[in-house]
Amino acid sequence: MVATGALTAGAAAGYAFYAANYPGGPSGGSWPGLLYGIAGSGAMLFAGLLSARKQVPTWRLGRAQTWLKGHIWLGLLSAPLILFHSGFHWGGLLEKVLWIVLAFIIASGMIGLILQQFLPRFMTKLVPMETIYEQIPHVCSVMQSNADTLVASICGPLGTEPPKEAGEEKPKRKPKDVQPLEGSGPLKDFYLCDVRPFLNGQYSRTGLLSSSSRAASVIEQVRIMLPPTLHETLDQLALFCEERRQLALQARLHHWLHGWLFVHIPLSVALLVLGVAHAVMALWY
Amino acid sequence: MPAPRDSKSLAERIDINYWRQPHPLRQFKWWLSGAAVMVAAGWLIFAVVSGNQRIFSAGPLSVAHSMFENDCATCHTRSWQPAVRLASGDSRRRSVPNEACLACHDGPIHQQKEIAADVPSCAECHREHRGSTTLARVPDSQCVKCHGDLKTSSGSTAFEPHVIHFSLSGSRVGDHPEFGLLRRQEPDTAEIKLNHAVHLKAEGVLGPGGKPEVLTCSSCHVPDSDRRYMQPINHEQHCSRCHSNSLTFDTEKFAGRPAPHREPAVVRAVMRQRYSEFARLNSESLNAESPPAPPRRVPGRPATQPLSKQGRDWVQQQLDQAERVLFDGAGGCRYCHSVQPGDSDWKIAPPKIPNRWLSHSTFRHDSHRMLGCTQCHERATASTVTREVLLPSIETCRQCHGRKNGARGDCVECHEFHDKSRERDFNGSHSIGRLLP
Repeated sequence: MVATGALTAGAAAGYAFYAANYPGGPSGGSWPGLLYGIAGSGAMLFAGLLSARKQVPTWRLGRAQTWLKGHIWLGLLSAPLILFHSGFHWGGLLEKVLWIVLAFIIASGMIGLILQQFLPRFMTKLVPMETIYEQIPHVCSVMQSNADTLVASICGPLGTEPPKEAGEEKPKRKPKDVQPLEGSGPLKDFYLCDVRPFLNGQYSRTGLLSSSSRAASVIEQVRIMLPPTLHETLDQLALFCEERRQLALQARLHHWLHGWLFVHIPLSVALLVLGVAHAVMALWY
Repeated sequence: MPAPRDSKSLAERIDINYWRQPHPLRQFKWWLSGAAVMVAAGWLIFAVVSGNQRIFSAGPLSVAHSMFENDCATCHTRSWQPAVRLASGDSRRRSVPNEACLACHDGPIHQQKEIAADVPSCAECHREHRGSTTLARVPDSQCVKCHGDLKTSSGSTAFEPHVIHFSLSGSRVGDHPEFGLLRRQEPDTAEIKLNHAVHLKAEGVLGPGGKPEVLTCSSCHVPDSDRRYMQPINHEQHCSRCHSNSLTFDTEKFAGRPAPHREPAVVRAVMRQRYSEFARLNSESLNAESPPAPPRRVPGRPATQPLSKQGRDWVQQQLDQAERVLFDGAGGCRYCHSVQPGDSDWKIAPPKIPNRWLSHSTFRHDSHRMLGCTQCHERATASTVTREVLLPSIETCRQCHGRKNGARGDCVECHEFHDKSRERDFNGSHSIGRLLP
C-alpha cells in the first residue's frame, strides 16, 4: 500500500510538471503520455497474470499472497497511470469503451476486495459446518443417504431410490429391509414429505425447513406424534436439516464472495483485447 | 444412526476427486471470458472489415475536419511515428507532417525574423481530436515557448522579449507589457486638427442650418461591414454635413456652391473655371474690352468664348482673394488640415489617420458593443488635440480579460500567428471528389 501510494504520488507529481510545461498540454500521444500508457498497461498486465499464476500453482513463482497483493495494488495503480496517460481526456469511441471496461473492472475488483475482507469471517461464524464449496452437492447427497439409512432402520423400507452420488451410475449401498417400529409412521411421512427433499433437492429459502425457527416448530409438532423412543432419531434428522441450512447459507455467501469475478474476469480479458488494439492503432497513427 | 462429526467422518464425506470434475460456476466463468473475447475481437474485426475507422479515432475531430473522420490516412500520412517518437524521445516526430496540412492550408510564416528551427510543426500547435474546438485556439504554452525568451534570426527584435502571461499586472517580468504605442508615449501623428472634446460637448455643436446637434462617437465612427473595426474617417461621409462652410468662397457670386474637398490644384481649377464663367456671363458689367477672335474649336468640345485680358486679370484677382480665404484663412482648409505654400502651389499635408492602431493584434468592436465607448476610450470626451492617442491602456483590457471567470486572456484572443497577408490566392489543387469521404 505504501509503495502504491508513493508510486501514485510520484506519478502525479510527474504529471503535474508535465502538464504544466508540455507545450499543447498533456495527451496520450506525447512522449511522457506514452510512457504513462506503457506503465499503466504494464501494471494491468501484471495484475492479469494472477490468473495465469493460478493455473500453475506448483510452479515456484513466488507466494500466492504476494501475487494477490501485486494484483490488487498494481491494478489500482493502473487507474491513475492511465488517467495521466490520457491527460484526463476520454478519447474516441474505442478509448471510451476502454474507460468504461476499466471502470467496471476496478469497481468489481474493489467490491470483491471489500467482500473478501469480512465475508470469510462472517462465514466462519455463521457456518460452523462449512465444507468445500464444490462438494456441497456431494455432501448433501451423502447426508441424504445417511438419513435414508437412519430412517429406514426404524421405519422400514422407504420405497425410494437411494441417492446417486456424483459420478456414479449405481447406488452405493442399499438400505436393509427391517420391520417398522410401532408409531414410526409419522416419522416416515415427515421424512419422506419434508426432510428428504430438503436435504438433497432444490433449496428454497422459503421452504418449511429453511428457517431454523420454523423448522424447530415443525419438528416439535412431529415430536408430539412420536413415541419417546423415536425422539432421538428426530433430533438427528433436525441436525441433518441444520447442516443443510448451513450449507445453503455457505453457498449463498460463496456466491457473494466470488460472484464479482463473473464481471471482473471477462471484462479483464476484453480489456486486454481492446487494449492491444488501442496500442497498435495509437502507435501506428 | 447419525453420522458423527469428527474429522474422519467429515473427510470421508468428501470426494477426493472433486477438483477433476468441471464445476458449473467455474465453467461459466470461462464461457463468459471466451464470450468477452469474442465480442471485443468481433467488434474490432467488424469495424475494420466494414471500413469504420471512427472507432479508432483518438477523439472527435474539429468541425472543419469532420468530413475526414473516417479516413485517417488523409492527415496521418506517416505510419508508426508515435512509436518512433517514443523510441527516439523526439517529440517533434509526427504522423501528420506539415505537408499533409499544407495540401489544403497555407500556413504563412509568422515573422520574417523567426528562427526556422524554433518554428513548431502544424500539428504541434493545432491539436486535433479535441472535439468541435477551433484549431486556431492555440494554447498559450505554444506561444510562450518562443516569446518567453524571444530570439530572432537577426538577434534583435522590436517586441518585448519576455512575455509569459497576460493576466498579471504588467509590472513583473514576463507580464504582457503595455501596448507599444502607449509604452513609448508616441503621439498621434495624424495631420488633421480634431478636437474630440468640442465635438462631444453635451450641449451639442452647430449642425446643418445652424441648428444645435448633439454628436456621439458613432456619429463619426462607423463600423465596417464586418463590424470588427471602424471605417476610416471620410470627409464626405463624416464631416461635410456640418463642415460645408469651410469650403465656401465668394458667397456673393457662388452661394451654395462650395469648393470640392480635393487637392489644391483641383480646387484652384474649379474656382478658376467658376470665375471665368462668371466673367463671360458678366463681361459687360466688368467693362471688359471685346474679346479676341475665338480659337479653332476642338472637335468634341463645346466652343468657348475666350476671356479678354481685362477679364483674365479680373479672374486672377478674384482667384487670389478666394485662395487666401480657402488656403490661407483660418476657416478654410487650415481649419482641419495643415496647409503649406509650396514652390508653385499650396500643399495640404496628408491626414495620415491610421485605419488601425494595433497592427500586431486583432480586435472586434462588435464583441464589445455592450460597453459604452468611453468605458475604454475614457479620455475621448476631454481630448482637445490630435496628438493625444485615445487608445485604452492594456490595464483597461485586463479589467475583464484574463481574470478568473472573466473574458479570455489567452494569446490568440488578440494575436494571430500566421501572417494572413501572405496567404495564397484562391484556386487550390483539390477536386470535390478528393475531399468527399
